[in-house]
Amino acid sequence: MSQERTPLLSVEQLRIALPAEADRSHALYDLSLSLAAGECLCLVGESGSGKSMLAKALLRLLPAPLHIERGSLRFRGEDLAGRDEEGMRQLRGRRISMVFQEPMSALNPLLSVGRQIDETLRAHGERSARVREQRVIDLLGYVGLPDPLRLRRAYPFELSGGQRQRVVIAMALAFDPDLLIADEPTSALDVTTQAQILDLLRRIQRDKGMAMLFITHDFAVVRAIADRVLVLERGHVIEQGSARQVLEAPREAYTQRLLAAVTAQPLAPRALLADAPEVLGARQLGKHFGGRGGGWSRRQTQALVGLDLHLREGETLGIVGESGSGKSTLGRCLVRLLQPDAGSLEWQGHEVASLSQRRLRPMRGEIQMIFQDPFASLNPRQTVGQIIMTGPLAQGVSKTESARRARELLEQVGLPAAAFERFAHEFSGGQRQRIGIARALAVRPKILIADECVSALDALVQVQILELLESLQRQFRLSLVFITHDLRVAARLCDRIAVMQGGRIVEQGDTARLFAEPQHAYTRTLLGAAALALPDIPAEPAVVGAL
Amino acid sequence: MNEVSVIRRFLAQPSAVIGAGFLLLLSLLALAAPWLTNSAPWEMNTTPLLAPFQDPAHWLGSDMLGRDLGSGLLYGARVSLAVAAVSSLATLLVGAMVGAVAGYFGGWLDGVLMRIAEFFQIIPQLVLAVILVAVLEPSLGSIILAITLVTWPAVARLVRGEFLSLRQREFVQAAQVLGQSPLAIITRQILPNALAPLLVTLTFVAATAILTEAALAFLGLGDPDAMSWGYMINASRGLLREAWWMSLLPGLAILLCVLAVNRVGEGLRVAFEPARRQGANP
Repeated sequence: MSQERTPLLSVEQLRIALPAEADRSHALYDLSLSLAAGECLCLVGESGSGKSMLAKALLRLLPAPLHIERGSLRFRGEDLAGRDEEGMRQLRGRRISMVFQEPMSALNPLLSVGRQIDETLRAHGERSARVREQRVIDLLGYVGLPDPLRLRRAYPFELSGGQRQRVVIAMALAFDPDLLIADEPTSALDVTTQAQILDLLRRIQRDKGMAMLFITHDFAVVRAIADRVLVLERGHVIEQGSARQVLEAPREAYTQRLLAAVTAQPLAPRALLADAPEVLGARQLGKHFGGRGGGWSRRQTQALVGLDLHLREGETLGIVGESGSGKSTLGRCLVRLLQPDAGSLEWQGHEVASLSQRRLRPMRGEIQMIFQDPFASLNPRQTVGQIIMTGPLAQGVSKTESARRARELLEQVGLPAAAFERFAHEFSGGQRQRIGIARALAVRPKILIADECVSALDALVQVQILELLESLQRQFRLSLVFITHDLRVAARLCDRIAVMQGGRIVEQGDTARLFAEPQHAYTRTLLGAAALALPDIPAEPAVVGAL
Repeated sequence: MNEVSVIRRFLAQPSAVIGAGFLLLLSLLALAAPWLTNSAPWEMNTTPLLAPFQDPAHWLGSDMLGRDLGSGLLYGARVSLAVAAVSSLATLLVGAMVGAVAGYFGGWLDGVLMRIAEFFQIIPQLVLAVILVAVLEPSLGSIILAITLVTWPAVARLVRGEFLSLRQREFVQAAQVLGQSPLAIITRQILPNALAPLLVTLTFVAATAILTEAALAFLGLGDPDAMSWGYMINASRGLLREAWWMSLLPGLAILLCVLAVNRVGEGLRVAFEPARRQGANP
């Protein structure tokens, strides 16, 4: 359909050079694309593929040492290189606007949201205060925010993540731009909110006939919104085509691997020893956080309420919930980083809910934790060897034996032996997560608690880490509690799933049953929102296995 | 973040390198004072009020009692540098210990320790130091004790702050889950990561110590047996017009010394900073 019209945006042979010490020579290499009015193009790639660089180059917001080496950017037939700074400023926000990933940092925390939209309007020369005020109210209503008259006086911190992103979108729409660039606008949001924001963007795009350049790493989002798709790997275009073609018949192996990575392949139901002994049990577990306000403001947050949970040997239990549902608090209570204030907790039959840290220390070898953030969870001042040896040494294992275990584990988690002497910052996110796993396994635990341990990783790396966890689980007969917000990941790995909301477990059951016939309303909402996240593309296990 | 790149970034800053070089030279000169001078600092061995560059044997001149000024400056450097080094070490010890305990364990212990720190902080530093030295009888020991007592709260608060934030980091929690004892967590996991800001603060503590010692000596509360820069300025203040060099030379010595320590501290801060950012998110 786009052949007969001049494209709204066309990029030709764009090259952006990286500084000499970077891991590759160009952030983008010979990128060409065209975008027609009213069309949505999704730019897909893993982190570091250069997808955000295109957006920055378009708006001439490239960070200092980077510049366009060659190639042209044409917007409505006009070469953008010809515009001066003032000309670009006129373009930004008026004809081309942008929505960022993190709505909290895109908004000024000290100004009410109405003021901020008002300022955008004023910056582009809208003089009449009355016109501006009406426009602000219209815009806030248009993006689906309740009670715009009152809400425009609210400050960003008073709004939820989804509401903030709606405000950012309203701001971007202030002048009915021809092109909206959205850089991962939903990745910081919960699945349910994510679905709503995608709906909103799709509706606006159809309404206004606006073109959209949508940058994402997530094929589920692509499926929901794209007309056409462009796949990037390390600055090179791998594949380009209609959404249908790329999603259903990808030509390139890289695209196939990416697609397979996001396709849930529920675990083959394992013959689960119904009589396997219980290794971890919680009964009526409760935890609240007291507000330490100034003397008489005593706010209490009930993070966990009367929670029952049990884990059998060799089993994987998924804990699924949105942020704020208390799932991380639960994980920290289970390993006794936090002390629950009600109920009982048993590690392999020993009551530990109210033991002191000193009494717990000798028992710590039984239960270990894998943390979410592969960067914050490793001590930047220690070598990988020292990090992995910490546990055995603390449990009284001799130095030579600890070192032997550490080297053995490095091999088991798929890291080179040379890693032993190196520092953690020399490794990528996925490799760092492997180090974290090796550290946990070094004390030979029976139970592993994994708290969002793959959510900070790219899809392909996620698959590798999940596979590693699965094989290690079999090898060491581990019992696993897997905490995640992502139903896809839970479905892939878990025998049973417990759904959490507001500090309670609202439903738990076998993975297959839970997906097939969810009982609780909240589970159904989660599943509905994740429906877009569970594409029914035929998976190609051979490709995944080859990774 | 490796040590090599920190050192390289430090060496890339001329002012920091010059500062460090100056301090090193001054320390060597101070140590070699007995061999470099031909008289003890208190010895009256030449014409009084000799101006600089008039007598090759006493080329920085002499004071109103005929004491050699060059010798006084070198022996004074001994006092200043020793006080700076010992009192910043003592401050580090007390401050780091209190701060670490308060920050790591929190709760009522934190409350009590921080109230004590505040008790010291609300009294003007110099006034408190003067009172302490006056009560304890002036000596090098009491001066160092006084300086330590007035500077430790700042270091303790800094260490506490670092500990509070590092305590929440996942690698510290991981160490706790692995069963490492609190002492090992403090010394192996947290302290190495808090070292950079601590070192920088310590250089500023050292600069304050030099100034405080000079101020105490100027007020007549210096160690009576040790020649010091503050004492020299005090002795010469009545002759400001007749023998300007008598107060100018020790004054310059204090200025340069404090400036050098400050530049070294600033250099360390700059050298550590990118590394700290890198550590958080490479």
